[in-house]
Amino acid sequence: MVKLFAVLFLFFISGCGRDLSDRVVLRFWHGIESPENNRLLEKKVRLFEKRNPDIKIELENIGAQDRAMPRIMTALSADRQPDLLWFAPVYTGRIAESGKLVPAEKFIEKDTGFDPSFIYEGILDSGRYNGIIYTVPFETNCLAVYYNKDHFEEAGITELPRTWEDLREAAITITEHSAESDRIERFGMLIPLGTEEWTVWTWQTFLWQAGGDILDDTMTEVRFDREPGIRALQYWSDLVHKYECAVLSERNAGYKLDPFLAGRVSMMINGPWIYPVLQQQDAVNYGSFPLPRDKTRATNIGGENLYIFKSTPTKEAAAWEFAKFIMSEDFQIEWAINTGYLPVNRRAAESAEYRQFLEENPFIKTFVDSMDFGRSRPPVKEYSRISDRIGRAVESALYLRVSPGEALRKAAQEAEDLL
Amino acid sequence: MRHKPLEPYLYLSPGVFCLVLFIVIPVIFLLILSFFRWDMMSGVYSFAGLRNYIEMLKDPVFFQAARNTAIYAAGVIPVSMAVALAIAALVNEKLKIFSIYRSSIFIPVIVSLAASGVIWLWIYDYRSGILNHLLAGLGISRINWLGNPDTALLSVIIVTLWQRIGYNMVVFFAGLQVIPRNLYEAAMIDGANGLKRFRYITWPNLLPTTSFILVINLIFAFRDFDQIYVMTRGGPMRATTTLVYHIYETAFAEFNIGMAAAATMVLFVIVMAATWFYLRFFGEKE
Repeated sequence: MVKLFAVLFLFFISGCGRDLSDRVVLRFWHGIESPENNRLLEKKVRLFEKRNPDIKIELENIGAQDRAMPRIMTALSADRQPDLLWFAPVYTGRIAESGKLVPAEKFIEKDTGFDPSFIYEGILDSGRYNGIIYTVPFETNCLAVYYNKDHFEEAGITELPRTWEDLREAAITITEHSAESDRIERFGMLIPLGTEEWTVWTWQTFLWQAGGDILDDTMTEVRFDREPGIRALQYWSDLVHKYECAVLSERNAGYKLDPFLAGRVSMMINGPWIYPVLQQQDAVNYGSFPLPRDKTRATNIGGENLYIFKSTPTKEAAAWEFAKFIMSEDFQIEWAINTGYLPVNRRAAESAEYRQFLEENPFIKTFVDSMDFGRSRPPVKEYSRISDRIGRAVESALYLRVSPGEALRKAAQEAEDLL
Repeated sequence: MRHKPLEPYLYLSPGVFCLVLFIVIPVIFLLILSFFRWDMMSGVYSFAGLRNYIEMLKDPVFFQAARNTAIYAAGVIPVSMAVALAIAALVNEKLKIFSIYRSSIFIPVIVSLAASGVIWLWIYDYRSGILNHLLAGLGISRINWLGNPDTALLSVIIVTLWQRIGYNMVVFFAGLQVIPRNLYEAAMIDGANGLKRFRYITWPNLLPTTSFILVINLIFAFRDFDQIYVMTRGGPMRATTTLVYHIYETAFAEFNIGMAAAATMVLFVIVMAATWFYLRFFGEKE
């Protein structure tokens, strides 16, 4: 009996980190939402395990990214973090501060078989904090405008909007008033409302287009309350309230496709990942064009990175193997073609297979081209709190409770206190 | 002389153990936390003295949350109690039609608040919700129930009422059932009408129940979180940010654990005061 217990006990303690067959077990947390993408990830993980029989990846979906931060925080404070995490690169700084991340640069330096020049430099930079690459890209994306081709044709718009003025004029032309009442049946554009990251992420592109920025280059001074910021927020507000050619989204649901698919709005800002959903519907004949320019062009680079947490050298090495697998040409091509995300690997993007995919789906090419003027959110550790303040400013200005200038100034003061 | 009986303490010990483990220790830990700065991410903490409390009292959001909580409690408690009492009294009169109501009114209680939040999200939906649909039928223009800062808190109050009336009704009903029948019979012989019977028999006999419901509702009102989290996430423009929601945001969005602990202490004191008040004035009579 005692022997039996002893054996069970040994099984139990050896179970931490290794399964019975002596494989290295890595816990991988991710928040990939659609079932199709989850199935694809599962498939690719099994392939990885087949190629690396001594490594086992345990997938665990931690739910929508916006709401996963508390879970990651509590895990870190209890020292129960996973080995691998799929998460937005903008949180690199915040999580690196915990001291529990292995900087990916450590592996890149040592691993002579890995050539980082195949990864787009701008995307690799998104995982940098204090000059060191902490996290490596898993997938990338950016924003552009989707439009309803039929609505454009009906309204007689032949040229796609290129500037803020163009966009406004197009939206005004398309907006349809009801014949009987003063109600508006169809809006030219959807403006995301809410205080969460989606609103801030999209609004930022207009801030950049107007020539502004969130912080200065040294990341120490707040800049979004200057003239370009005020103009960008005024532009949004005017589209909705002055010209009545845009409608506010539901709160914190600016990314939802329903208004666009129902034909209630003719243009919306969104990313390439909605491609699988668009493919499955035939209600709307859609296309895309790059975000309009004001002083300059800009879009916001998003996507997710892989975070590797400190554990044992064996597990860390296994995690790096997995990271390399994710960044490889094969994975990037298949992932991009099936999910709509953009490849992070230059060779994948230039492959014949992916090029053919872009030819068949020209609206995704808009996003690939937009990456040229893509920018990233400031990788400061206070970003999520600053973003919250900006979100509240955007919301109160869109509700016409305060002027854009006042709202942004108040948010900037709070952001300065945070820095 | 027999020695002290050990048995009762033995019987009590599992309960006391759980109480200490899940209530007393966390409360003490909370109190300690409220005097510290704690960065959960790096695990670094430092003594902050009263700084968390001072900063909390300087924070306009805290007062807005306190005000919203007061409005919420003032909106939920009297209405839910009055309606519940009226229904319970009618059910108690053994009118057939109301006994059918009894179960239907209780149904919302067994639905979790988070689930009912989702249901009400659809009911309130600006474009396709049934509520705006019905209003349109009456010729009233659509209302953006949860999206408008002026109506959002009211909308949340309505959801809570929908749920809480059922709970209160059941407790009131139980209280009514124990009032001796012969009191009513005697009053009827003396010629007291329904209103008088309520005033001189039901109301005084029901007072312990009423005070219990009042205190329980007060505690509920300070604790309600699920429906706000599901429906409005404290917005728009913090219109539905109550104290609990503010604490949640401070702790798990801002990761300012110390200040969240300080705000929780304030909430704890309020709820304890309500409970003490109840036990002091009504506890022994029951």
